[in-house]
Amino acid sequence: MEAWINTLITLVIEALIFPGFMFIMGMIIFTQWWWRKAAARMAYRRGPTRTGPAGILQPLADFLKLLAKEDIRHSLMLRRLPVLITSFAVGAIITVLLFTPLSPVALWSPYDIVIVMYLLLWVAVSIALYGLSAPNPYTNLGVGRYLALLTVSEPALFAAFLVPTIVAAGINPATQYSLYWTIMNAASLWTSGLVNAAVMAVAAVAAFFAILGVMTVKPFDFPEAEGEIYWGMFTEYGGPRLALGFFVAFAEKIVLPMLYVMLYLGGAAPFSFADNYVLAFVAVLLKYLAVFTLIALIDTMMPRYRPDQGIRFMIKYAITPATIALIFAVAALTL
Amino acid sequence: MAAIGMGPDVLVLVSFGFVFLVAGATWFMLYWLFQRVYGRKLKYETPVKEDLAFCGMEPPSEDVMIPVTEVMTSVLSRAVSRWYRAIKEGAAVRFVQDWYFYLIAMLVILLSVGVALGW
Repeated sequence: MEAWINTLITLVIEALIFPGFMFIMGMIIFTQWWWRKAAARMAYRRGPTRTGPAGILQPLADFLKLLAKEDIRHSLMLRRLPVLITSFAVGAIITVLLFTPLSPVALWSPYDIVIVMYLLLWVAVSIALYGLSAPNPYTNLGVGRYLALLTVSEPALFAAFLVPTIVAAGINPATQYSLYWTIMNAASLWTSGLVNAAVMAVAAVAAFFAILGVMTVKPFDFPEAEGEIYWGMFTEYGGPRLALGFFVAFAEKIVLPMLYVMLYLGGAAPFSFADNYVLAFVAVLLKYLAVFTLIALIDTMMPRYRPDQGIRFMIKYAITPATIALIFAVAALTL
Repeated sequence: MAAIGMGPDVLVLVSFGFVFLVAGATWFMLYWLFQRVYGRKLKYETPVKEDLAFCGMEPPSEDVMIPVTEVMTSVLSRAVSRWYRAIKEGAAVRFVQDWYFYLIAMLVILLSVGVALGW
């Protein structure tokens, strides 16, 4: 009984502090500063410089400013739903991290990849509902575009994220399609034969495009389309409601690339979570930072696709390769 | 490093528990607390406070909302315009609309299930 209570307390601490709420909060502040600095460097600007050393506390200052503002809503905006939806979306995206070896005490079950996908879809649907809760012509345009984008990028993401779990189950049936054990075996996914490496390479490309789509990063930022349709889904929001919406969107920009790193870039390799947690965590963090920087540079360099162009791109270069990789992964498993 | 294994049904319940826990913490720390301490005391009254954002113009009195589903289907149909036209205007729609197509499809499904189950 005592052991059970200790485990529960550990899990609650993980959910609320590390790698949960507080960790994600710290990561949002750091990554937003990093993103703004990278984008500024590309545009021959200096980026944030005034708040904290090298301006690192500027995102925190912006966030606190929004949180402490008056909670204003227009006459048609729903009163409680946006706050509830975003809070639950934060809960869903942070719970995903409890399924990974980043949690010192992780949760797993056979086929838990399906639960992880459900939680990730919950976040995307929450963002759409968040936009719909504040009706406005521009918001509706943004939500319509976002739903169209999700129609193609979510299936691609799911198919692509299924591939490593299937390959892992082929190499070691004890992984049982669980995210945790797939990540623990991530390094061997690329080195267990030519077919598996080819399938992983195709799925890795598809997954990268899919996460760009789900995170609405340029060139797929047409649901927000700042300057074109005002601010799309976020048009009507300000103050604490906007802060919560941003929290969800930025948390997605941390968790999705981190899952990508752990599934496709060898997880903690050359270290292992089982041998040395600290070094393994640092390895994942450095790889994540490399992927995040790449995404920030793509966002800065690329022009915006038209909605139909973006969706056509997703069908060609995300859904199709992800489906092909999935079929080959299943075939390799069964044959 | 430890991993707690459990059945998928238990894990669903446990993960929902954590979603609720973190959602509660988020709402309390990021919304309720800040509003209680500071935000609720601010009251800035202006005649346009409850108006829609409309490019800085006064929003018209008639309904200006755009149906979300129309935007979504319009974007998707333009993205796959060739397939969309083929289905909407081509021979496929005449075939699919034909009532006995559904009966043939059902027969094929029944036969497939029968063969698969060894009836």
